[in-house]
Formats: sequence, C-alpha cells, structure tokens
Amino acid sequence: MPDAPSKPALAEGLTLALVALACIAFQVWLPTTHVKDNDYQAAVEVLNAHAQPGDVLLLNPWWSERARLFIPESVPVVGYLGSDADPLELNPRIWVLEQPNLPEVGRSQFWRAFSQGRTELSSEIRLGNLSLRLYKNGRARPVLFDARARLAEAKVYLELLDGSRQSCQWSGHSHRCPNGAEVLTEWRELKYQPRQCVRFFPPAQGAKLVAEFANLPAADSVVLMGGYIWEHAVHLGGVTRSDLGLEVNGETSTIPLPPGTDGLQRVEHKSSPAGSTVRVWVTAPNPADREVCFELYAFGAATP
Amino acid sequence: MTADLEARRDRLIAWGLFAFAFVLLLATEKAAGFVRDESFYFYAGENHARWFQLLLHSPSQAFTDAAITRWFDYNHEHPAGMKNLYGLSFLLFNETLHLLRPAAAFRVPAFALAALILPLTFLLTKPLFGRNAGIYAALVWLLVPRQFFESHISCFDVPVAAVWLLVVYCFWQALSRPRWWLYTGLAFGAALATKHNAYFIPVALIPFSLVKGWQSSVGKPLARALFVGINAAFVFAVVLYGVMVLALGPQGVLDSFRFPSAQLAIFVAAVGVGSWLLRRLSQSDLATFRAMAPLVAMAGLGPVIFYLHWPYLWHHPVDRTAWYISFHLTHNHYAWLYLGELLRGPPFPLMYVWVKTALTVPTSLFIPMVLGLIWVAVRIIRDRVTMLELLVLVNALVSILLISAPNVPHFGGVKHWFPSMPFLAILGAGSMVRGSDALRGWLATKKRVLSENVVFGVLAVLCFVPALIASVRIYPYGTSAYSELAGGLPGAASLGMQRQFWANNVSGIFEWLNSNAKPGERVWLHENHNLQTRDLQRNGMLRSDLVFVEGPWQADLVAYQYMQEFREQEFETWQAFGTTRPVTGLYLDETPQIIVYRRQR
Repeated sequence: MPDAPSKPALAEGLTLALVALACIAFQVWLPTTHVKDNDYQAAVEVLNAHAQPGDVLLLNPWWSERARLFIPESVPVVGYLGSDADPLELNPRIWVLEQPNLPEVGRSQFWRAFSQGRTELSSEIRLGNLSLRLYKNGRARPVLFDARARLAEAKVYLELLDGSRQSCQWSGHSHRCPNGAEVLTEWRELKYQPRQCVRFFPPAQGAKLVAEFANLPAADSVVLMGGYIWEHAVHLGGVTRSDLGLEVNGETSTIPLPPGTDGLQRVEHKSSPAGSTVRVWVTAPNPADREVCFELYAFGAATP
Repeated sequence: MTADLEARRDRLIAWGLFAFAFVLLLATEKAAGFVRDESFYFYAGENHARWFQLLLHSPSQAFTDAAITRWFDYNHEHPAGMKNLYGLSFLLFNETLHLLRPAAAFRVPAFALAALILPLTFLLTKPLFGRNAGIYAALVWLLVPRQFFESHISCFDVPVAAVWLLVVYCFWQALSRPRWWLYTGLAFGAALATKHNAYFIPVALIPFSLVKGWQSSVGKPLARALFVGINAAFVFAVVLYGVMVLALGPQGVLDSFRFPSAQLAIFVAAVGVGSWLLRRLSQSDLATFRAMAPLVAMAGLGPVIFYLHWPYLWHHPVDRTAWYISFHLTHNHYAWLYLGELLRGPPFPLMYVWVKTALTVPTSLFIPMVLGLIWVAVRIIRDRVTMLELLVLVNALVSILLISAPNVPHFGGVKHWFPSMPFLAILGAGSMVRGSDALRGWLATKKRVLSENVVFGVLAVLCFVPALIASVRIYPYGTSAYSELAGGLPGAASLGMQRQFWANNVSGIFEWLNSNAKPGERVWLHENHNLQTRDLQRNGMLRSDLVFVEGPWQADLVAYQYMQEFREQEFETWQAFGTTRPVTGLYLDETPQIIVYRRQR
C-alpha cells in the first residue's frame, strides 16, 4: 500500500496530468481550425459578386497569406507584420478576412488597431473557419494625383551643387540618368510592408536627384511618403543620412532619413491650388547603401 | 534481483534504446530535407573521404601540407571529427556497399551519435530516479520535434550534445570506477573534435572535481599535498600564459608559438607535472585520485586528440587553431525574429533562450523540466542536494546561460543549447516519478491500488502523446515546431516568432515542382545554395533537368522561403514576375512557409 502523498507532490502529479490532458486536447483541436480550399473559394465568390475597384482585402492574422492563392489580383491582399494599423488611405472599402478560431490570434488587438474611422457595411459572412466583413474606410482620401501613374510625364534630372542640371531620359519603362541611376515604379519592402514606390536613389557628391511634376489638380493636401528600402534602413556603419524633400510651388518640407530610420515616413503639404508644380528630391552626402523610394499623392478632402 | 542481473538488464535497455533510436532515425531520414549547412558538410565530408583514400593509396603524398590543404581547407571553421565520419560513412555505405543513397550514407554517423543520447540519458537518470524515469528521460530526446528533426541531419549540434553527455557520464563514472578517468579524457577529446561548445564542458566539471578532491583528501596530508600540487601545476601554467599575453600581446604569443616553443613547453610541463603527481596520488589515495584524474586526462588528452584528429592542423597548428577560435569569437549575427522584433545584433534579450525553450519544447515535456529545476533548487536551499543532482543541474544550465549572454549570436532556433536538453529531461524525469508516486498514493486513498509501473507508465504516456502528435504532424519541418504554450505554429506566428530557418522546408514543394515544372525550367529556390541544389538532384529529390538560378530575374519559378528579413525578395519576385499571386506553397497549420510563384507569360 503506497503512503499518502504530500500536498506538494500531489500538486506536482496533478499538474503534470492536467497539463498533459490539456496538451492532448490542443493537439486534437488545432487541425480543426484549418481553412478548407472550399471556404476560400466561397470567399472568392463573394468578392467576385460584390467587390468594387479600389477595394482591398486585409488579413487577420496578418500572416494568413494562404488567401493569396485564391483571391483574384483585382482585389489587393494586404497582410504584413504591422498591417493591422495600416490606414489604407488609397482604398475606400476594406474587406477583412479573418481566421477567428486560430490560437493566439489577437483579435481584440487587431480590432483596436483597425476600427478607428471604419464603419461596417455588411454583417459577418462565415465561411467555415473564415470570416469576411466589409468596411467603409474613413481613413481613405480621394486620390487626385498619383506620381506612380504619372511618372512618364515627370521631368527627372540631376541637380548638381552649382545648380546646373543633367536630364534623365524616359525609356518607356524608366527614367535613365547620366549617372546610371534609373527612376521607375517597382515593388519594394519598407519595414516588411510591400509598397509600389518610385526607386529614387540619391546621387553622389551632394547632388540632388529631382522628379518634377507639373500641373497638379487642386488638392486638399499633397503627401510625400518614402523611406529606406529593406535592410538598407538598418545599416549604420559607413553610411550617412539622406534627405527626401517635397517642394510645392517653392515651399519646401523635408523627410530627414538618418541611418536607422526604418519604415515608411511621410510629410504633408496642406492645400495646393490647381496647376501646382511639385518637386521631389533626394540627396545624401555619401550615397552608398542609401536606397530610397517614394510615393507622391495629391488628396482631395476626406468624405465623412 | 542481484546486482549483476540488474546491471545486465540496464545494459540491455541501454542497447535497446540505442537500437530503437538508430533504426527510427534511419527509417525516417528520407523525408528530411537538406539544411543549408548540411550540404556544406556533405561536401566537406566527401573531401575528407578523398583524403582518406589518398592516405590509403599514397600515404607520403597524403601527409604533405598541399594535399591536406586541398582536401581539408573547405569549411575549416569547424573541426574535422564529424566530417571525417560523414565522409567515411559515405565511402562505405554509398560508394563501396551501395546500400544507401548519398545523403543517408553521410548521415549514418549523425544517427549513431543522436541514438547514443538515449542510453546515456538512461544511464545517468537511473541512479537518480530509477529505471522507469531513465527510459522516460531517454525517450524525451526523440519527442521534442526540433531535436528529432535535427537528429537526422549531418550537422554538429546534436553530435556535440551527445559527446557532452558522454563526457559527463564518463566523468561521473570516473569518480567511483577504475579507468573511466581515461575514458573521460578520450571523450573530451572527441567533444573538442566535434564542435566548439566543448570548450565549456570543463566549466561544468572542474568545480565537482575540486570539491570531491578536497573532500576526499580531508585528514590525508599527502593526498591533500598532491591534490594542491596538481591544481598548482595547472594554475601556474595559466598564470604563465597570462604573463606571456601581457608581455607579448595576444598576437605576439601566437606569432612565437612554434614547435618547440615556451608556449608548448608550458603545456607539456603542466600536463607532465600534473600526471606525475597524479600517479603518486593513485598510490596514496584512490578517492582523491579519482576526483582529479578525469581533469588531468581532459587537459592532457583533449588538446592532443584535437590536434591529431584534424590533419589541417598538422603543419600549421597554431595559426589555424587561432583562426578557428577567432572565427567563432567574431561570428556574424544573422537576423532573427523574436516576439515581433527582428533582432539583427547584440545586445539580445536576456530571456530569449528561456522563452524560446518554453515555446518550442512540447509543454507536456517542458513542465516536468521546470518542476525538476525547482525541485533541485529547493534541495539546494534545504541542503539535501546530492552531487549527481548538482552535476545534472549545472550541465542543464551551462549551455543555456552561455547562450543567454546578450552578446552571443542568437540565431539557429534552439540548437545551440541542445547540450542542456538531456539534462533537463533527467530533471523532468524526477518530476514524473514524484508526480506519479503521489498520484498512486492518492488513488490508493480512493481504494484504487495500482502498481508503480502502471501509474508512471500512464502518466508518461499522457505526457508523450501530445508531443508525439506534434512531432508526427510537423516532421520533417522541425525548425518550424512550436509548443502548445505558444499556441502551436499559428500562435507563434501571431506572437511574431521566427517561423523557420535553414532552408530545408522547401522540400515540401518538391512533389509539386517535379510534377509541374516544364522541362528545363529555371528555378530559384530562395535561400538554397548551389551545393544544396546539387545534393537535391544527386539524391533524386528534384528532377535533373531543372536549372537552378540565383534570383527571380533569371527564373521561371520561385520558391520563396518566408522569413521576415527576406520579404524584399518576395516583393522582388512580384516585380520580376508581374504578379502577386502564388501558384502553390507549403502552409503548415495555415502559416506560410514556402510560397511558389510562376512567371506570367
């Protein structure tokens, strides 16, 4: 006959048994949270029927990118570390595709970051382990001008320290500059975020690379966004700061980019009249490793 | 049962555990893809094998520096021990006997070393907590998914865990049995020949030798004098080296290190005097001798075996050893995602190792480890701890504490503190024994009398089942394994943890690739280097007509390995291919691991 156990020993034994049972339950339950291909197909059918140009699909959790296999490219899929708080200001409507049953999904955190300024337009559609909801994006603003779409018309040149200019030639795909630089729109990463932005690497010897856009429509604000691409943001040794500048009708604002500045930075110029000329420029004392890209928008007033 | 019968039964169990693990690893190896480093070691192992062939056919040529450099220069940042074994195994099982495919042939020594962990763990656990606990602790090694996966591959992290355990086992035996001091020295030499973690083994053993030697020599003036003398010989040597460094500078000491030189003379003198005093001690007091002999053997045999096992050192022992040590002292820091932050360099979070262990070891196995650690801590406080308990505790903590230092590189998942894991399993086994005994007692109060074996067995099975399910589900993607505490792999992804590393998960899309790639298509396997693709084709895992390229711009198909630090390369693929939509991928518990894109025509 065994001795009666001490309380700590019994607690140890019960803890081990209960933890083991909980772990078994977890391992049996986890596969039930998986999403079936049919559920994604059903989501696609909803999107095909109801999505509008300019809509975007936001993932929760941000990493649940299996959706990309199914969602048509006409609806951009957004999911990156930090995307919960993305204002998505180019997209008036947001579809939120959730997997609410996954463990540690951090739903409350997501909704806290997401909800401000968003209004639900449809009730939740449950598709197996998927949940789909449509929101009006109160943080969106009407896009009156997008530099990426008008890049071919831009005047792009190098501005040397003595003020002289060297033009870059449009090749049908990119602006090619005398120093070998190319200015074009491409997918790049800014702190995990995929951005289609304009490649804009600073030239050598303190010169400026300039992109000049003329005849902008009247706008509530002109916004320049940009930053260091990928790991170039975190390199600290042997590099200098860069400056990304915005000049609207001669008024200048600058985004300083000291080494270590990671992610998309922005500067906003309030209200510009029709026919404005906007210059975007970049410069760095030492251009090595200073890979920068930008986006430039003229926004109308946000609709309530 | 007589002691002889007991010992025979234990030997049988130990061999049984070894055989079980070896056969299991061999039977499941085919699924394990090639990690980045493994292909380096395949290549190096094959080079070493060629040198051994040269040694057989033309010994005089083989001993020249030119021949040695030709075959050993590649990957000389690691000692040759395991690579020698991998290469010889390849020669035997693939090229000579044609029994195994090349990768399996290279891996056989890795299976053997990994399998060795089980009997050694059993043998160290048994005197502490009994036979059942020994079997439990041994099996834990295979039930931690990351350990199980890495037990298959021809790298060094599991082998060094095995030889570390071997040294400790030999050391423990040496304190009470003849000749084991010699085995300790030999095992330590083998450890040095395996990986540089071995340099820290003495840290975990010296205090025990000193305490035991001191205690054994109480009231024995001659033994005490010899004990002090042996220590003094080595301390004096260390002081002399220190003085040389101060006088000449570290580089000066290296530059003047020749054969013969003062540096070598100090080593020979210390080992010589130590051995002479040790011999006298063996005649004077056996207990004190047994405490000190393993250390002297390690000090004497370790460096000699290290030098002899690695032909690359034969003609340039000092320069090349210095380079090897310097390589690891100044190792790169690779980016590593931890709790939503991409760590790129020191200082690293102090709790990283503990958190990572908690989130990757199956929780039903981890909790007993934690309770076991607490139990030893309580025993220390109550002054009831035994030397073997302390020995296990110290060895459970040394690697963990070492890697916890904020300046030590933190990449590589949990593999850098694998040497701690068998010792944590031993402590966990203690918790299982206490817990099952208590449950048995409690059940008895409810009029349910069950045998010790039954209650322990049921509790062990309960703890093993979730770990087994997790292992089966995640294998062969071991670097992606996360525990129940993390919420599994999806939970870990939401917590912002590194989802994979080492580029082997790409094997999950090979079936699709072999079926869907057009003849001669150009493929970029992101993060796979050309030796990996060579090995994948050589072992029949990928079609031989596929052409491997170095980036998306030259490729028709891209298999991107999802890692936070490489997102730019996925977006570069979007740019190059004109699409953001993948065609297939490897998704584990919904988490993207490998994402395949095809160029838009």
